[in-house]
Amino acid sequence: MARFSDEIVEHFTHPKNVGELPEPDADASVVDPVCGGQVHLTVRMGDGRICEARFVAYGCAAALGTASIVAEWVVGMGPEDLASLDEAAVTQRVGGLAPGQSHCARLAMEVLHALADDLRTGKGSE
Amino acid sequence: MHSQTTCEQEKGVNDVTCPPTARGREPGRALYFDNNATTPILPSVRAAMCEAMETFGNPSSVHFCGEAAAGLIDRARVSTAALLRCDPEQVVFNSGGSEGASSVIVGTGLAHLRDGGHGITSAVEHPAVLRACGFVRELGFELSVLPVDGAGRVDPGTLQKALRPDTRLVSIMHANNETGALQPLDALSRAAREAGVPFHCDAVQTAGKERIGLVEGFLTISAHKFHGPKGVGVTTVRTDAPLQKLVFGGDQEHDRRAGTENVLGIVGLGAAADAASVRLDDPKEQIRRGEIGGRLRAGLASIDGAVVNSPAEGCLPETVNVSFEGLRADTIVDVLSARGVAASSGSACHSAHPEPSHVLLAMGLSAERALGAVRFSCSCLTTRDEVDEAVAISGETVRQLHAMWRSVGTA
Repeated sequence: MARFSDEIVEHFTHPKNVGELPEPDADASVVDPVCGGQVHLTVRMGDGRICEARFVAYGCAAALGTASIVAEWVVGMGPEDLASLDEAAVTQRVGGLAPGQSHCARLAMEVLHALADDLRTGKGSE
Repeated sequence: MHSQTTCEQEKGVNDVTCPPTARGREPGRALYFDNNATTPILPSVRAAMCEAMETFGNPSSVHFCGEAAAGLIDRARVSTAALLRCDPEQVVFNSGGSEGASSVIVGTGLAHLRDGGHGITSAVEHPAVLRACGFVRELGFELSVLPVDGAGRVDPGTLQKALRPDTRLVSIMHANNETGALQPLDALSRAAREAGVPFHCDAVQTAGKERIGLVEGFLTISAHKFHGPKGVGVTTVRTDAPLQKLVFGGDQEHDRRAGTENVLGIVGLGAAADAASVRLDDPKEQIRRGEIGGRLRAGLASIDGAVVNSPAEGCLPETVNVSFEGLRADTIVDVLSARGVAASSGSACHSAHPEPSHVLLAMGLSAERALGAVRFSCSCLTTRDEVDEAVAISGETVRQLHAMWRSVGTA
């Protein structure tokens, strides 16, 4: 297979929702100490669901593309939706990951779960 | 005979088409800046190889079919000898740079297997040389790996001090594949010669770009680095130092390397050597390559956060190794590729965890700077417009990546 899906290429060449929301309703950061990848998500809520998301990320091109896709994907989701997502779901959503890129799905899943936790217990649940 | 083909005449026929992922440039040409990895085949080389396909004989056969094939090899041998300024019988065709380096380093080790001894190389060599040296060390030889200065160069005085009565071989490259830094080849080879030690020069990156002044010892080149085909190279043998051949069978290549010759590849190599000789004798081409390289270097250096790692002096102008502060080279290279710019990361990227370049670390660079190093390398086909466009796309890519992760780490 190609090293990158069309969707990942589109997102790492034209990333969407880059940045950090001021005074977000919830946020989450994860770091993968093995690959050095980092993702920080900030979201704003409306009616119990994410209505706006921004990301900043560091890592390989696949990690950046995945982070951009995730920031677009989460809009409309609630904390239970986020918590239900696993690596396979992320991999499917980004159009597949080549061997050696599975850490990108793990990084994305961890930040989604951390965001769900923050929404349930942190600022997002207030 | 040298063909009269110039680079200008060759242009346009070798347009590099975009890969499917180069969506930003469809349907235009790709911007190919990875010529230290490999170069496009020149039309004159392709034509020579196509013509040679008609000649199918085994060069070792005594009949007319064999003679025709042997004649093609003879002509290529003369062309190669003209490029490298040696005698045709000193040319040994092989499969390329890795085999060339192994044949000299391992071959020398095997020739001295009973009496043992010592070898010398440098810390910035290509893995083909370093791993061959490592293998010989496993056979029981001692190995000195010479350090380099901040420009990536070996001090000839350091080599002199490292030479011993039992030193069997010195193997030091001419131009570095990652930075383009040129070693003081004359002084290094002289030091070895004065000590009576054979010298091997990995000139894979230099062939076709610079005249190589090695008059004795061994020299290795590879055709695909100077617009020839892949899978064929040459080691010149200008010494009677003991050397055990590694490939057994017939007595091809003056009994130095057995195996039916790669006639098509050798013809291509010979045609590439002809074109290279024309370029080397053309003062305008020598000026042009300096201008193109200088333009690339200045353009990349002007990008925010860029630090050029290739030395300003004593360097192949075609090669510009540049680090982008705070960014990962593997990421930059992937994004550039998606935008139709082919460059190379200075790091060896294994799965998710890139390793910093041993060359840049040996030059004293930090691991972080080495991990941000991208290599751009030109050829005689690279144009000024391509340089300007590649620089512009690189600058935009670096700006975008900085924006994407500026806040990470403080979150």
